[in-house]
Amino acid sequence: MNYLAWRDLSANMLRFVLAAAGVGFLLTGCMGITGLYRGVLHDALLTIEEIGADLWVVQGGRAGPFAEASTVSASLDRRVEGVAGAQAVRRFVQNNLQFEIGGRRQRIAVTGLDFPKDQGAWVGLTAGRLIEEARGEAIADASLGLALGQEVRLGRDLYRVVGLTEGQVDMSGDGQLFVTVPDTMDIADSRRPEAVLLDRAQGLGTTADRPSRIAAVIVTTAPGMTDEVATIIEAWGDVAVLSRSQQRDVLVDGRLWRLRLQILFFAVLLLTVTGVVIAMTIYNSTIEKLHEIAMLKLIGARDGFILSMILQQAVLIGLLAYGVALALSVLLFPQFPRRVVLLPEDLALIFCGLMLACAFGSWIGIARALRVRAKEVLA
Amino acid sequence: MMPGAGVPVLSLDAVSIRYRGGDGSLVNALEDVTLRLVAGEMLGIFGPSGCGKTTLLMAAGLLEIPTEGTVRFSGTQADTMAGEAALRDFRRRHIGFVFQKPNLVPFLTAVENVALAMVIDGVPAGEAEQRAMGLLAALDIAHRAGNRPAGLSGGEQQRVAVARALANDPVLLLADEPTAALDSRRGRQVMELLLGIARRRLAAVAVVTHDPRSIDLFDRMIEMEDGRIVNESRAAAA
Repeated sequence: MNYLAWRDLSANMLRFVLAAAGVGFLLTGCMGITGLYRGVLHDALLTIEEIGADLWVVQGGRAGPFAEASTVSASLDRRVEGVAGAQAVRRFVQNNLQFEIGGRRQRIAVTGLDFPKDQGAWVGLTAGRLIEEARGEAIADASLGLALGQEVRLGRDLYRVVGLTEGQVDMSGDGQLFVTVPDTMDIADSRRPEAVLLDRAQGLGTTADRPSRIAAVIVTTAPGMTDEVATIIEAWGDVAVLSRSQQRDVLVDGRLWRLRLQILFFAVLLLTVTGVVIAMTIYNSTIEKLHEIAMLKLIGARDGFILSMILQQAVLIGLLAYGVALALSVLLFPQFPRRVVLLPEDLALIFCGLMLACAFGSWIGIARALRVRAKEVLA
Repeated sequence: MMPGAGVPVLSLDAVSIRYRGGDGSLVNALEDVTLRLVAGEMLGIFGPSGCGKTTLLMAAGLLEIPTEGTVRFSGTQADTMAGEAALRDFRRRHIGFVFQKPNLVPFLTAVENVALAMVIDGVPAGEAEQRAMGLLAALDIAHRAGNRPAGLSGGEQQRVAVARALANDPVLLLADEPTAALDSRRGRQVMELLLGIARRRLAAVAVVTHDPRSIDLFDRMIEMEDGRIVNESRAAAA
């Protein structure tokens, strides 16, 4: 290490630590905003990745059910079951609703499990058991604050929590509550008695009159049959078929692209501010030392010696700031209401951006130091 | 390697330095100055403010390249060296500077300030600090080695500055009013120190000063006016 760099820092430790802390807070913001985007992406793709579907059969001409609204016939699953190569077929429905739970109004993503084919094995239980009854049982995400065995009224009926999950939220961050598909329909169709009476008066009161609330049919295909099954179903004309990767792309490049752009903008903005703060710190520190720099040149110090002092100080501030940011991220982000995902590649990218900012910051200081002439000591 | 006593160290031959002033007029900072300095000799440079004393020191220290004339060290022309880096390398190895203000690096201790001059010459830090301690001991300031400049008196700081100037065994020591900020007793001590360096280390020492109290210590004195040497005299050294 440069003979002067560390001695200067240790003699001005408080200023150095404050500068690093300031830059560290900015970096924490940068990590947070990037992590938030990754978190939203993770939540958005959670169901798509974990439900185990190779194909999503949705309303014709639509790219639902996550990117836009989609409704398919309640009996579409039986049609799909008849296609050669379709191994497992389930109905999918998810509604975001608000209910009063424990005196507090909460948003819940009510997701239907096509019981008995799907008991919720894919949701990743942390406590309790899978759904074993066709009616009245629920698996709840921990974020909803429900306890195992607790009964909760959703619409007209009571549902008993038999299982708990962790981190099962939808794209908006609403905790998911898994019930059977018929229960999902009942919860979504819950009407006031007056509304029921009015419907009956018009002769619309029977179950058969209720519109389908099935958003999609999901298909697990036999190995190597995915394309073939998709082609057959697509040919029916009334529905559209999306593969898992298409579903992913629709979300990432469609619904989330604005968010992605915005977050990229904020991350770049924060890194730029970080660069300016480092540049100001190093520049001010260089200005304060101009006389000493002239002195160093006078006694024969080469430019490399002076430059390495400035550069090393900038990098040290950067490294300490990065450490501060990492520590703050680990401590603070788990307390955030939304999931914040710190990926190693994002952290590496932020680190590279930081080092660039340090190089930029020290370049300004170095440019000033190079203009100092040795004879200024005698002036 | 120190030259023997009386061997020429520095030769300025018909050196002139001119530059454009703020109003565009030509300023003759140094005009046709010829000067020889030999090993073991202490030269006093006198004259009123603005007469060119410091410019002469800059030319001798290769901080200002002459507009005309040549600067030679031990017979080798030095002012034609290519590039600032070469000049700096030469200064580092052959010339020491002492100023009115000690110009110590404030965040370094006394020993680190002295060692710095060796470290930038490529000496490992540990070895440099060991040798710096030796220099501080020779100048009776070793007991203050761990203090930063702010914790040293003016005289102590100037001793540390002299030790730093000697760090790389220079053949030429240039001092610009080294006693101006000191009281008469401390000023005298510093001048005696410089004379001792000239005698014992056989360095050529040139001191710019206004102070007539140490006149008896110089081997030779020159008086400057308007960028020219107008008078030269030999004095009896102590």
